[in-house]
Amino acid sequence: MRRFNYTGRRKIPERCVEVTLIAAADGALSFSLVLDLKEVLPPLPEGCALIVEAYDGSLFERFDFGAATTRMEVKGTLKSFVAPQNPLFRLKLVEASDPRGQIAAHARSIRAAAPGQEGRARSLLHVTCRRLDGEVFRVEFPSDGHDYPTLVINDVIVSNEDVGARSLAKHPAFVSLVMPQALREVLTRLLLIDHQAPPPEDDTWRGKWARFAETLVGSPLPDENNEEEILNFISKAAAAFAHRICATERFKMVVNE
Amino acid sequence: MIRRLNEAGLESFRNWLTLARADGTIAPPIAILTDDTCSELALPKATLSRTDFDRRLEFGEYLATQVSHSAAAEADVGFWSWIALHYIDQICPAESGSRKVYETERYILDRDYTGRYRHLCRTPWLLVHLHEKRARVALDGALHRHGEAAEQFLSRQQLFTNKALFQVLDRLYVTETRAGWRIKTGARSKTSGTMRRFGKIMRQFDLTWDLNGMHPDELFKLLPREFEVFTSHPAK
Repeated sequence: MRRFNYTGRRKIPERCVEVTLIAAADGALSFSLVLDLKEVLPPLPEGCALIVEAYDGSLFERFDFGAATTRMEVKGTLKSFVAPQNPLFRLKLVEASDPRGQIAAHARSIRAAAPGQEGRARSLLHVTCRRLDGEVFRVEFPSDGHDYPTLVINDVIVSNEDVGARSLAKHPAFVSLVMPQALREVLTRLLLIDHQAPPPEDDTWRGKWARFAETLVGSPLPDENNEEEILNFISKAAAAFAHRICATERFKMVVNE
Repeated sequence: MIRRLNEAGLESFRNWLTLARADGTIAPPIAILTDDTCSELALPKATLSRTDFDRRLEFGEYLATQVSHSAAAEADVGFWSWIALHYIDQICPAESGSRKVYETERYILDRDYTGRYRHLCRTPWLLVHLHEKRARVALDGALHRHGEAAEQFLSRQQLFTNKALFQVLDRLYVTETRAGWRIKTGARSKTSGTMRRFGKIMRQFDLTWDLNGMHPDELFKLLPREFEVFTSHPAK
């Protein structure tokens, strides 16, 4: 799909932004964000304001940290979110003078490390738990196409804690049965339903999942008009992934325990 | 009290929607609203006794007084589906003894983010919580109407949570009358300067401008000339 960018808006590479969520004993959340633009070339324009927004569904908080510099470390207290919520963040460098309010650069859908989790989450599939209607899990896709797909686990199984969801997501039976299927579902959505083979420079979940699939299969994405080839490609990716995580062996172990 | 449909209740409601699409005279499964095998208590102190709503705004205002806003409430499928079944005569009314049933996500809250805004009870509730009276631009019309014209800006989180944007919408498309207020003539059509065009243009602007940081006047100035048809005729 051809996209236009008449204002020269830039994407801030994901590696330049680090967000950490900090949970207090009473569940109150705050965040610290490190922005390092030293390696970004050509340099981003000066005189921009750094805006950070945290959001989850209709819940939304905005922070204006004033004039942006090449390297910044900022902190904020979230009033609309409590642990174990794990909101997404977007970051904007916004022109402070004419054309005031125009976005010079942005990074979207930044997933912070969850409370109690060390380091930044870099998974292509966010894991969370919520009440599901009889299903053990399901894969959900973001509405605006910028967030990552989410693996939702039924909270009846894991209690209402994201930490519990992440533990279950590492269980050998769960990993071997669910993860290859989740991968198949994401690729089916990407390549067959949405029918969007992302370009190589695409920095969204689509681009990252496409590159991941290419690595698994060892060949580039097939022709987007050849449905049979796409189905074959998805099956090869799911099989390669199952091999990589030793799905059969893990499940065999669980069955023989 | 307000209850929540469990898996069996959701299944029963879903089955009815399928059957009623083919035969609109089949009665809805109202009994499951209080049947412990199909539903469970959610809000013991809240009540939903009122049923006479002229427009979706009133409905949203009433729900907002009964159900407080939280992330958990926003995503509770069984809860909103129970409320939809409770109000089934209002959101899916029988005309000459037969109902016209639309897409399932209007009645059973969609699990995917993409279709949640179509729910006929949750959307009025959520918009009133977010925008109070300004939500009226998207909540005109009877309870069973979804409001296709508003779809462009309701389907995107960054737009439907934007307070300044709803102020601009209100200024553009709502006019005060002796009887209260109404949406301006032609605002819902598909031509230049209408609500559909506004949604489309704001989706583009959202990529270029920091809309959340803008004052309504600044947003107003950004609008292309095609919207003058509604700004220059405030009482159209």
